[in-house]
Amino acid sequence: MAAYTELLKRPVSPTGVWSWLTTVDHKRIGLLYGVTALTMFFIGGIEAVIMRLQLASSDQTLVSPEVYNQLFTMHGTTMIFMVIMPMGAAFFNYLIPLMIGARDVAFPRLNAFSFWMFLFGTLLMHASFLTMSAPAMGWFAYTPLTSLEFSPTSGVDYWVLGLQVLGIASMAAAFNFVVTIINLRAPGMTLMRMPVFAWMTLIISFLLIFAFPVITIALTLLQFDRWVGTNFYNTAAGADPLLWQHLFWVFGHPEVYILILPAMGIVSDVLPTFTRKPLFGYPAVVFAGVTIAFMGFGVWSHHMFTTGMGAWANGVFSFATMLIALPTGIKVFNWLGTLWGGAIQFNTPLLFSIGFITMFTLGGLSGVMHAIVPVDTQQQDTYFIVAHFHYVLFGGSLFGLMAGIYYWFPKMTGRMLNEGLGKLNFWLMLIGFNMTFFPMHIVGVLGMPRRIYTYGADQGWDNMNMFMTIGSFVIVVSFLVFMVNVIRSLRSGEPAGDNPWGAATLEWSISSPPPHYNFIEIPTITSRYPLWEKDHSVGAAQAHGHDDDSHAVHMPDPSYWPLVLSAGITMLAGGLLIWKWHQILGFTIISVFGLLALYATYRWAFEPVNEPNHEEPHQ
Amino acid sequence: MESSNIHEKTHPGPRQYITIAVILVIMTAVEVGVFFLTITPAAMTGIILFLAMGKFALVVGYYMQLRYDDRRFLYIFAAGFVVAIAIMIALMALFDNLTR
Amino acid sequence: MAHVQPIEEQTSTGLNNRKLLMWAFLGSDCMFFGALISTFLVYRGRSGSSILELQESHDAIKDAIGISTGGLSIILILLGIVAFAFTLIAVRRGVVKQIIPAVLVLFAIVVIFQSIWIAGHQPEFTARECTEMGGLVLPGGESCELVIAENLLDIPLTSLSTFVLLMSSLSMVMALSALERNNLPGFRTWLTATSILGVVFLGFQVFEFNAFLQEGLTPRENLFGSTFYVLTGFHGAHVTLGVLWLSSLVVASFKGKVTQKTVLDVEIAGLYWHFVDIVWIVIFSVIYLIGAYGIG
Repeated sequence: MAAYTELLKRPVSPTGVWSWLTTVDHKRIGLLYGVTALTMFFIGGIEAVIMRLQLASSDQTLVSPEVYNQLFTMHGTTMIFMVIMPMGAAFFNYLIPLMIGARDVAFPRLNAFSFWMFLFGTLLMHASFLTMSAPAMGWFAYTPLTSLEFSPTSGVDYWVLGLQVLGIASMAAAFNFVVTIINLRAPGMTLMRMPVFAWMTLIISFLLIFAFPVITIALTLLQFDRWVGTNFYNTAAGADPLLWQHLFWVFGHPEVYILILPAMGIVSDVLPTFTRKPLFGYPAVVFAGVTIAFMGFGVWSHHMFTTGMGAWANGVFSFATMLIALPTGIKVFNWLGTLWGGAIQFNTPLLFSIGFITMFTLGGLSGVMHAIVPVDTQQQDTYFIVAHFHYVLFGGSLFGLMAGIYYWFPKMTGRMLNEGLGKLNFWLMLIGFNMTFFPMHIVGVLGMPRRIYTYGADQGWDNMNMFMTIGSFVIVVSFLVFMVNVIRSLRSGEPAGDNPWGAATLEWSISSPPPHYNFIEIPTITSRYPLWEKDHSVGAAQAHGHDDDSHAVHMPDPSYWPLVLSAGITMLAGGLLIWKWHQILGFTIISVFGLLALYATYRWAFEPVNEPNHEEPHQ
Repeated sequence: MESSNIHEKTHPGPRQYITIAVILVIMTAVEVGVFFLTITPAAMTGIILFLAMGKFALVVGYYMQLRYDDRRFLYIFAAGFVVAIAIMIALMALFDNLTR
Repeated sequence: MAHVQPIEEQTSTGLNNRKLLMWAFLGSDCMFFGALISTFLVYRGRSGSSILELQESHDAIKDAIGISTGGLSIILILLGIVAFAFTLIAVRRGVVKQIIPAVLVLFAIVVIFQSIWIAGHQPEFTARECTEMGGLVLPGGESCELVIAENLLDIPLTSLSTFVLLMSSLSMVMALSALERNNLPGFRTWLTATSILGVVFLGFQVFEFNAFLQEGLTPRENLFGSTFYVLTGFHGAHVTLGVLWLSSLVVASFKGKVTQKTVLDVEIAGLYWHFVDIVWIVIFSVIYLIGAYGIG
């Protein structure tokens, strides 16, 4: 009995692995997100390289068509849901409380829960590789290809359930950050004084909570079709094959902005630091972000111009799509305005930011081309599309996120990344990226369809494809340089100090890495760039002030229940998979873990944020 | 209900709750009544939608106390509601449901 | 040690974190239901005829609405016993107002018994009944071709369940109001009534599903079946969750965990419960009333 109560006792001050499994500290959760996302990035990258090798020259048989289908499906799904989104999540978990002057997020346990859901969803989806039946229908899973009739293997099942679990993770995080950013700002930190990254996080959180329900419902309907035999996507029963496409893109287009806005936020915070001047037109950047988010819900059908929606629908969505380029353009000009006349320091974060602006603009321009219906009709399902979305997602999002990594790595670890290696990393990545993806525009216009696993020698696409494959290896080398840089810095990097870049925002006013309570005293903010104020009072109060008071800061205690609940929910999904193979076993698993999830929910609900009898160890 | 409440920003009391419940029940009864009348579908649709919106507003405004509560709760809820309605109408238009 | 407020209670807007979370969730939930209702409306009128096996199907809907005298008498007797018990309790506590929830509870019991009774009363589905229902007995005499679609919806019955859910919203605000005035017994009674009304609503739904299944309408049958069951089932899942939540609050109140100080816990649960009610207002109006004969 004693052992039992000991087991269930709250882990008030755990150490080692337990401290990570039960952590509710936003900084640790941010790091967990980041490390998981980078790991997934390498898996997604390997998938991409295999595809590039297969396509290097005509009529190759490196992989079978079936495996090729699995590769591009998992590459897309991984990069979108398990790399770029969680990398954004890593940044906003780590940085938002620091930027707005809070000690943690509003719901620390919910935050832990969202990370574990993300990790388990990732594992669930990748478990499909163990059964040799990874999803193979493309990342947007059009029906009726995904119906049981045309995809009888369990690949789609893994994909559907994995995405449901990832969806819960994203929504939990989004709710948390909506409340955190609205409610936990330090005194004086008005909305219009927040760093742009905090603004963009607020916007994508709203996008997530309003867009993810739609995909959840679309997936639920697909689940019912595949498990129960309903008719939602069954054309034989009169269903419309376009319903999935509409529901998917109602989610899918806001999702595009969910992927790009964090990078825009990062760049908007990096540029002022390295140009030594405030962001040009801060309110314009913020309102452009809000406008993009709002309009993002009204352009989804531009993914479907070739489905025969009719002239009216095509016209309306074409117009709306061209319109949404306006706020995006506003942002680009604001960034250029920030660079103009600045005392520019070409550090690696700035290089990546400039890379972001240029590459994203190219991707944005090909996006406007797609808004023109006749042009889109020709480009639909060619490599031109592949080129476009890699320019916005790799050239855009990923360059922005890399800028963020180089910028905040010193804050997160207390050590600088090597500038020389960083610049090498940037130039290799920029060259490799353009070698790989620019020719895709050309082969696309020449008619090379996306998602083919090989092509004939008579098409004349051999040379360009070989060039692209070589480019992809340049990208690989650039990431090896990045890894070397990170490992070198973690071992023997130059100590960073509190504010190595001379930046202006709040996270740089505290030590690197920050203490677990973030701020000894919650600062009072008087401007957008508090550390550039003349009196510099914010920094001074924080710096090395009253160490004695630090124990008075009462942080939320760690908890098991987020981990248990997310494991329970994920196993419910696992039970559904097993159900198809063995009903009784599946039912048993569903009931057992359903009860476990319910139990964990109750324990969570009645667990106080702090144990009442828990005294800080040093008191 | 009474105008004094709006200025004082107090919660409605049990009496108002019951009054609103009675109104809600009557509105539901009218809805069902209209359903059984032999009028054109378009007129029926209009009347029922109008009554449904009224009931919706009564519950949100008084039972959920949004009328007396901070505006920001309203904005955050309305954002989701408006987007949902807009997408519903757009989807129905795209699938020719509004003209069929 | 200096007392520092827990992180939850410091907010820059003065709004409570959890209440803000709930409103954000409700906004998000609008999108869930929006997507489902859109699916229903988009697929309206696309359900063709279906083939039923005569042996497997039953016809109960016709008996469902009219309550036969035998069943009614049993129900009346039970009703009398329970009414007596509740009146006794109310009088003993000296709270006459609590007769209202007692009546609500009674109502619950009546409906549940009625559902059970009807569920157990299913006549055979014969070739004759197939033709009576407007169906066509197919060659071989073993199956019936039937048009199963929107006209199955039973408006009088659903009006009743709509009424039940409206009343549950009333008892929810009454519970909140009682707790605000620190009337703990009143709070418990009203909240219990809310939960029970929720259960009654679920009973109606179970009954309706059962009646439709007897009629041959399964989720697999046609698009109407698929969209109807998933949409109303999703709402039913919300009600179930709400019932669990509210009854947990009743239990917690006996442990002293719900008091006037923690009235916000109840308010937030109430927001969720009312939301489930307004979703039903929309579903009843759009799916049932307009869905049956409205534009289209």
